Amino acid sequence: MVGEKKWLPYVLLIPWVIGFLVFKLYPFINSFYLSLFEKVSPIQSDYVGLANYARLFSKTDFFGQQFINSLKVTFKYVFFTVPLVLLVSLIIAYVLSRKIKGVRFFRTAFYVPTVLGANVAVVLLWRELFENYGLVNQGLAVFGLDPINWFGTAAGAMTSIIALRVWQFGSTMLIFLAAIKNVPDSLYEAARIDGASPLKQFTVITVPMLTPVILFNGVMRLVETFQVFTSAKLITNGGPLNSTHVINLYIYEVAFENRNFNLGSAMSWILFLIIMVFTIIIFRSSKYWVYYQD
Amino acid sequence: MDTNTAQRILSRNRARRKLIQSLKYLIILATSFLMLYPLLWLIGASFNDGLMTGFSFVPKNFTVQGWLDAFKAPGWGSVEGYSLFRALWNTMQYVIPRTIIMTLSTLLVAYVVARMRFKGRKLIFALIIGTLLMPATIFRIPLFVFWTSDLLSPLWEGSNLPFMPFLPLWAGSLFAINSFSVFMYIQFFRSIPRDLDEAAYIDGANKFQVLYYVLMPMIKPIIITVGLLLFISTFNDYQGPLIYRGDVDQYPLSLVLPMLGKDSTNTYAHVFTRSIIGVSLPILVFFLAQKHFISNDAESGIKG
Amino acid sequence: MKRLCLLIFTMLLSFAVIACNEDTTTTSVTGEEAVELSFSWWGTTDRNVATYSAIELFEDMYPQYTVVADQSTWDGYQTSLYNKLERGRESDVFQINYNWLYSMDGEYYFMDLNELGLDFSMWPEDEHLPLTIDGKILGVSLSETGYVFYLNWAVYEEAGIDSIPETWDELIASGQIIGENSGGNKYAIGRLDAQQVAILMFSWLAQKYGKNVISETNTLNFSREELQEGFGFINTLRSNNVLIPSNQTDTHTVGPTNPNWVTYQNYGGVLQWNTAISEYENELPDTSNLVMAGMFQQNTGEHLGMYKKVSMALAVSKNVEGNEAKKLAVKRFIEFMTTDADAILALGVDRGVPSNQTAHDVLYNSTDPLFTETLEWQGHDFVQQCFDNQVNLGQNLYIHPYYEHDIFRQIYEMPIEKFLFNTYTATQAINDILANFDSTLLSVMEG
Repeated sequence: MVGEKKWLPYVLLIPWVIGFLVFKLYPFINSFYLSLFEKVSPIQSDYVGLANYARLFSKTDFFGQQFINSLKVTFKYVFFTVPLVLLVSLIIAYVLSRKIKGVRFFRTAFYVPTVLGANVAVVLLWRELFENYGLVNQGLAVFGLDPINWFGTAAGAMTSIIALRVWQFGSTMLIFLAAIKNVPDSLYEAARIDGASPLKQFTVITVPMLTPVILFNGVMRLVETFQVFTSAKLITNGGPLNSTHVINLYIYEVAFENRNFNLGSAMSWILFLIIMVFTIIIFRSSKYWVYYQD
Repeated sequence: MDTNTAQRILSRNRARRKLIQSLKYLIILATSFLMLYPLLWLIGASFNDGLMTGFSFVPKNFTVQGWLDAFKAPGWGSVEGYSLFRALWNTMQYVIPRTIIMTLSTLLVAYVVARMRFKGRKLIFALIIGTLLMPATIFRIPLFVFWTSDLLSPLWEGSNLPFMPFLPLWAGSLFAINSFSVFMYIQFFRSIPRDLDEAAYIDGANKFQVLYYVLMPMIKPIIITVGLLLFISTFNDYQGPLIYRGDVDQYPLSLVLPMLGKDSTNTYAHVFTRSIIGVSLPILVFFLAQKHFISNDAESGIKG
Repeated sequence: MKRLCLLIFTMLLSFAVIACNEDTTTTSVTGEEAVELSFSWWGTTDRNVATYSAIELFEDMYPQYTVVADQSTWDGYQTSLYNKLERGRESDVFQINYNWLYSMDGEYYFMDLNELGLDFSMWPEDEHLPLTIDGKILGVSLSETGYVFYLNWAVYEEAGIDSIPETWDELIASGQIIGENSGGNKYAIGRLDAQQVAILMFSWLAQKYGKNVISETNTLNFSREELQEGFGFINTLRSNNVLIPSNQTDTHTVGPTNPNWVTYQNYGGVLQWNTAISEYENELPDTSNLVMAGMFQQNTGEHLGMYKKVSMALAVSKNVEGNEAKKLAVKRFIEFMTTDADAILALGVDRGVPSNQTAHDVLYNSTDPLFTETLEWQGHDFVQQCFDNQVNLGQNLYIHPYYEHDIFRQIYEMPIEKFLFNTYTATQAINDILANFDSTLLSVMEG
């Protein structure tokens, strides 16, 4: 290649390398380092080894009890939210990809909630919607159903924050939509000639062809939902009875409200390891269910 | 097969197709309703005096008081000199630099990784993918310690310069640390044939000329997409400002709105009006950019 | 694309202009020793408006001083303060909760007020004991507070009740009448959260056994049997239309805005700090009438079971220590806010009934407005009356500085909340409390 300067890429990457070292690698290591100490007073911290970790998994320690509860709650949230988001967005993307009038309008309409995202205004609205006298219960009344005390039960409160996340399926849907368009028409043609129904076409062609994208979306959503914060903080504030006290909320409370960076860091590390393990499991399993075209 | 059976099958097929057709629209319309009705209801509630007590979004006790007082923020308005404008501007002080700088800096990094050959390229790519899946939570505490250290806190804390008080929230953009943006760009670059670059090199163009004149026109949509996604995610960020919170006159919208709940001076109409204002900017930007966004996110190459 | 950029740019520009315009209020003060003083507090509308007018009065009196006000809501104030304290960026004077001296390492962060030369003899003798660590006075007490019942009299009147209940038995009887009259929809009190039920139960137990919930040796002072009685009493209240039978049926966590309090007026009362009642009063429509009912008693004529504490205090930043001009300014500011007649009248009872004798007298003698008629004042009188009576009987029900510690309080509040949600029996709740109370209290006290 003419005039190729060997050093050019390295120079251009200097900022990124600095950024990587300062904003990723250093905090990553420092987070672990912090988790090995215990604050005694504002001016003194003692090295305690892995005691913070032991504490978090101790059944008799108050932090341990709360932490284990938070883990359970977070798992519950993730295991309902991720499949629901994937399912809803996949179905809607599929329907939208079939010839339908006003596609542009619907595509936009479905994306609007995602734009609002975790905006505080929307989260606050959500709380009102699920209140005793809120829209959701008014809606149930239209169908002659009894009102539900959404924030009065663990299941109800969890449902309200899961619903908020599922409501925002827009970006996952768009990615599916793009991928569906890339599925060769010839496959559908062949299926139609064989007399396959749209449902059959969906399960036999669309879903298998989309497995790489499902993998991508699934992993991205998994990492994201494990860190849910805003909705749990502003809609339920972890309640009732800590039933939506997700891990990221607990880390925030311990680290920033109670100023225990050491214990907070230990919790972050456990969360990190959990996410890693899940990601690895999913990638490992992908060879059994992900279909690569070539 | 006689004509009768054939006709029967044909009509059965037609009926089935009709059913599928209507099912399709049923799903879509029902979903649209679920998607949009809460927002419509929110608009209605902002014109209603008192609690909304029905399913209908039409206000029962019509009032415009909420809108009249929207920017004065009653209750909070007793604070001299504060208003929602102030909060909006505070939000913009980290949204603007983060969105603009991150969009460009990650573009450059992606360009280098996708289009240049050098030793260590594979490693860099692996690190980008690796950090893509790292939970932000693990960086949060050490970065807080980092930014609030004696060395760095004078840089931003209490700063009178625009943008600077929010430095910890956007400084990363200078160093292209958003792996997701880099990743999206790289995938997009991969979908553009290298022949184009090669042709330009033969004509004597250098790397930057190729990026600017040859690739830029093609990647404009993805730039808008990345920019918009960054804008939305930054605008909606809650935990960042929450952690670095300091003086009240530096609170962005995301901290101000939860403070201004219903109380004896703020009616429901006020609360809902402010919610609408809180989301209006991202919606506006989205609609302005969506022509490029929607059609191209599709090909943006997030293909797994 | 260009149009889009232009549009966004103009929008941003206009925000910047508007925002900057608001900033131009900084004026230079003429005078020999111009000092800029900062003051931060939390509060709702009434208190904010009052504080601003008092600050104006201060600036009029001392033109050389400018006060920078940083006002916030309760929610988030503590985290902001923590962020600032750690880097010495806090306001010169800031409002604190009394237990923060302990939970926020006040020894390290707050200035010793002995150095300021304030006249502490203007306060009741023991008022600053809880604010003193190692001989250092770390906060100026503004007022004291205790939990007091306030009743929405409209609910009682509707049921034909003509006098305010004094004893628990009368309260329970009222609950039954209100319940019968409303078809079971209305309650003598209504919804109390775990924090309120905890203090209710500990007050009731204190009336019976004369003990503070936390002993002198920092352990739980009530036995399993005593707690069993306490929970039994809560159950009595819940089954007689005094409290709602399960908090699961009403999930509004914010008391004053709860539609059952404001819109439907199903709830006849609330148990609240006497300093925090104004929002409940403000929310109610004019047709209803909030009355002070004190603390219900075991027997007529008794005055027992009242826990109290310093409601809030003013602390001073350590930054002030080395700066004589600022020290003087801060001293004058605190004196002004606690003794100047005009300021006192402007501030009224928005931070509770002042403990400072001068301030107390100014408000006591004021005829317009009549502060002694306010719900805050009535509650305050009741709190002091009970507490003095208890002291005479040798009972010390002063609230332990760690009773409301963010982590520790969950030890008793969480089991009580589960009990109120009917997911725990009394026995389960008591088991949890007994298992964790002493050990967790010890661990939070050790830091």
